[in-house]
Amino acid sequence: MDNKTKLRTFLEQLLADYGVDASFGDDDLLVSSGLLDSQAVLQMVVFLENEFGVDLAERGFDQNDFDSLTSMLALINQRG
Amino acid sequence: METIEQDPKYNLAYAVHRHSLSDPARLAIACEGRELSYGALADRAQRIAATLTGKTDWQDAKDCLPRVGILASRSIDACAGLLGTSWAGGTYIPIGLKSPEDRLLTILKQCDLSALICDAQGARLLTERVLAVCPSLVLLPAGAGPVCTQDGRNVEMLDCESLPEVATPFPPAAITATDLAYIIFTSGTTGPPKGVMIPAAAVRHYIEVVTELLGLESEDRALEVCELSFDFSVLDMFATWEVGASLHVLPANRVMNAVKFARESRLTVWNSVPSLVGMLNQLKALAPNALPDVRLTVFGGEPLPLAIVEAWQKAAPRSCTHNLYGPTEVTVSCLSQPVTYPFRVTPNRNVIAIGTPFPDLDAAIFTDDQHVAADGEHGELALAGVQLAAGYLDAEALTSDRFPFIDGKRWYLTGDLAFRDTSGVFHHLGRVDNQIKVMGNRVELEEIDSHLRELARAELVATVAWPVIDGSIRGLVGFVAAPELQPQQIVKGLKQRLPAYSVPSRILAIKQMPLNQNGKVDRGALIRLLEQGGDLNTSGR
Repeated sequence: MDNKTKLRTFLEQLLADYGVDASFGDDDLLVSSGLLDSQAVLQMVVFLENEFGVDLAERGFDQNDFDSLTSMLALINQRG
Repeated sequence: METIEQDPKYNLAYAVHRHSLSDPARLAIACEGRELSYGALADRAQRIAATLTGKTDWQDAKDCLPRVGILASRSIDACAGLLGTSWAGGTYIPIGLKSPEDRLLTILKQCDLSALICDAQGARLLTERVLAVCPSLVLLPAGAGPVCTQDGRNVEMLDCESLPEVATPFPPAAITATDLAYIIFTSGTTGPPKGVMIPAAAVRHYIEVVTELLGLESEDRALEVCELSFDFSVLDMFATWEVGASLHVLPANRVMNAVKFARESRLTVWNSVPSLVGMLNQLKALAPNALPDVRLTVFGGEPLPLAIVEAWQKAAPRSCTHNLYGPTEVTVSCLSQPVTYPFRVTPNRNVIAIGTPFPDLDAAIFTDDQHVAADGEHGELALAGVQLAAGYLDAEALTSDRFPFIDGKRWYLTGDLAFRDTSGVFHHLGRVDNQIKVMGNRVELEEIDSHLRELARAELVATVAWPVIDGSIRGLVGFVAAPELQPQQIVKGLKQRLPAYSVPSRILAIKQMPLNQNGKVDRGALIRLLEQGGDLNTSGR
């Protein structure tokens, strides 16, 4: 599974957990739109650390990095 | 300031008016790239006030001040709306934007409003059912809606961006000490929401005392991350404006970026509930010295864990910190504890003490038979003094039950379990309702929570008594909001720290902790989950 598919599968599951329609575009805003909340973002942070080794302590947290699939992919590609 | 102190009359908008005359260009409020000076904010408030007072509904209000619903939050429109209401001599009533439609309808029907003021978010909640019970005047942000007529009743919808200019500026209306400045509905875990009625004298005392206590200054730049329906917003707005400082509003959907926002806006004052800092810490947003400009931090609304204080000190090393305690019924806060080394910590809880009462207010611990408890003895915290609410809206029986006269003095019984130590400092232990008996032993659920929080290294935890069979508690269940968990390890740890009857028999991981409107854990919802049995969405042993 490539990174994008892995990430999409994770986000679809997250949205389903929140009881919202799990279909979304790569650039759709999932957090600032109110679909997902801080607890969901926390799960994203843990997922990115464990699956992709993204180190937020070094980079600093920015909500914008977690708002869409595209922005999260960019975060993964910039790691290290 | 001096002139107000001599004047028995008051208005929440006095400070904004004062600064609009002495320094009109000074920044009052900023939100999402928009900035309003004191002059501009006073102008908007006056236009709203003139519009409100011009209506016959306003002039017809009898027995009490006219009331205005504020269906708005964390926006310039929200702040201008409640200032305009105060300016006109009315009572403002925030209505939570997250309220379910039925709750919205209940509040609108109960309050007998003269007008409703919405921001863009609030305007989206004006469904057919809501409009049917709206007052005859609704103010909306630019372009939010057309004039609407229905049921043969006219609801006048006005664009609050284009209200007519005020020909002759006028000062805020003077209201008397017992007139209501605002009514805030508490989340009410059981039964219908309760409207807490706060008189002008109460909020005036609060703002004067808290401004002095915190040492706010005119050059300060303060954070606003509260919903208007949570009374911590009264501190954020009115203490900031009292001294002529500026308020920087962060909308709800940007809250995870609070640190970035505070750094980039060079904020000097941070006001929040401790759990916001807990969340930011988990998101790794609290880098060392992330907030070099913050000089003052005010925590309130919930217990302040020592772990949060330590994390915060690294992120905002220059800040001095205060822990404020108080129920909505005693006007935002009424006890304070400076958070300075060596920290005053509540034993067995690892939270900061709630401190000592504000000047001119009394605090006491009452035993079950309404006697004053000895120092160190656990009992219900009660408060007395000018900051007490007038009571609950349209609920006389409940008011006399919670605001009894004891030995000739009016008290508010908080429902909070607390004690006073031998140095006169008060410590909060949880809710009286959460003090339960398990097989004859007295157990305080929040004490279990504090150990659970440490052992599971999670912010959001809650213990509930379940099952309850024939009125007696047969077990305890601990919930932890965490992606993964080792229940056996946690139970082992709890057994080392607590008597056996206090250790939950089950520890369950839950993906999403149910929270009430004020962001506090909803224990009732957890019990309902257990009662439903099936889909707990959890893993456990």
